[in-house]
Amino acid sequence: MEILFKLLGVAAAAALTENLLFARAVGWGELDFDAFSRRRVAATLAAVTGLSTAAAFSAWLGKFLIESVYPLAAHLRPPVYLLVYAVLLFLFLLMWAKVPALQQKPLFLHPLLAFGFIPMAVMLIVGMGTYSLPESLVYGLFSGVGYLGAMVLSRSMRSCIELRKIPEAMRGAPIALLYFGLVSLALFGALGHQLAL
Amino acid sequence: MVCTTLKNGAAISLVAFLVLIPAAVLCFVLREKLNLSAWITALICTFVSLILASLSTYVIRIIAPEITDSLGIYLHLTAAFGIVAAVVRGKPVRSPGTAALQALRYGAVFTLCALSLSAVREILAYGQLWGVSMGIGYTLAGARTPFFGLILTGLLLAFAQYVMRLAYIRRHMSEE
Repeated sequence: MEILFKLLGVAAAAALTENLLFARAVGWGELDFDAFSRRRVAATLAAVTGLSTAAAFSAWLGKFLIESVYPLAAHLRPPVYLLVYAVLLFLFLLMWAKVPALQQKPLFLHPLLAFGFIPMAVMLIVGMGTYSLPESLVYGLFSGVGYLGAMVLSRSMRSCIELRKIPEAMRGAPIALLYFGLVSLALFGALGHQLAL
Repeated sequence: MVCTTLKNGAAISLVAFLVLIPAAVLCFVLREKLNLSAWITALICTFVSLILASLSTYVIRIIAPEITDSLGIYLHLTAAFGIVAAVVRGKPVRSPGTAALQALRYGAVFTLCALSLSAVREILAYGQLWGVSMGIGYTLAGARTPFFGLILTGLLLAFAQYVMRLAYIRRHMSEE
């Protein structure tokens, strides 16, 4: 039971208190404004959570291999995590290309997303932290969920702004950053703590 | 998030230069000269960028010995492929030299933004600049938090857009 509560705490931290966009200001994704549908949201959720979970697992496995074989300095470890992540990613792409049932389905994956800020951030956080394997996997999974929540909020912000008269200087990135800052303020008001990493 | 002091801003800017320029040239060579697929290019570029970011920790220690701790994950996040891809896909890049110049331009803009933000936040949060006290009695603890960074960045960007729009209007009026 204690383990379950601990994992719930890690999940809540990943999705809310250490949200990649609102707490760490990492990346700024947006769901497709014109082609918004439940199917696309599900596909994006699968892609983002899959990548962040794989990144978290790669960091945990890389840390385990480093500590078993040769203890590298902390700042020299990220390339090893990336190599493990790349092996997992390419095995997955190979499986997608070879398995007949999956060949017909579109893959919402792009190199910019796969090697972008979200998997890299999760990899670095888990790699530099002290999470166990279950905690790492839960952290990766719920980081993706939290980021998708941020993307949904970002889309709702855009649909609100389309109907408002915004000063020209504030249009685009400035108003979006102000919006993210205010949501981040709300989260910090509720939780109020400093991030360790 | 990381630009809470001027030292942090200077350090992350230095890392950005050390990572972006070689990574942009490598990305151009892999895609345009060797015609490798986007996946292989992204992997090699990100791997090399991570190695450069890891090695840059030895360079940025001239700013302060504890600087790598205060930068946290953001030091290695400069190696994310999104940044390198943005540099190479900006203006048309037709040679490794152009890719390097484009990366230099991006790095310069990044440095300007990082140093401006860091200076304002350090003065507001700690009442000092580069660790030297400014004699300001009042500090704003909220200036150290991510939300302040996001809001301040938005406001500075809005100011920059306003100035650029004014310059554009004046240039067009003088041409007429």
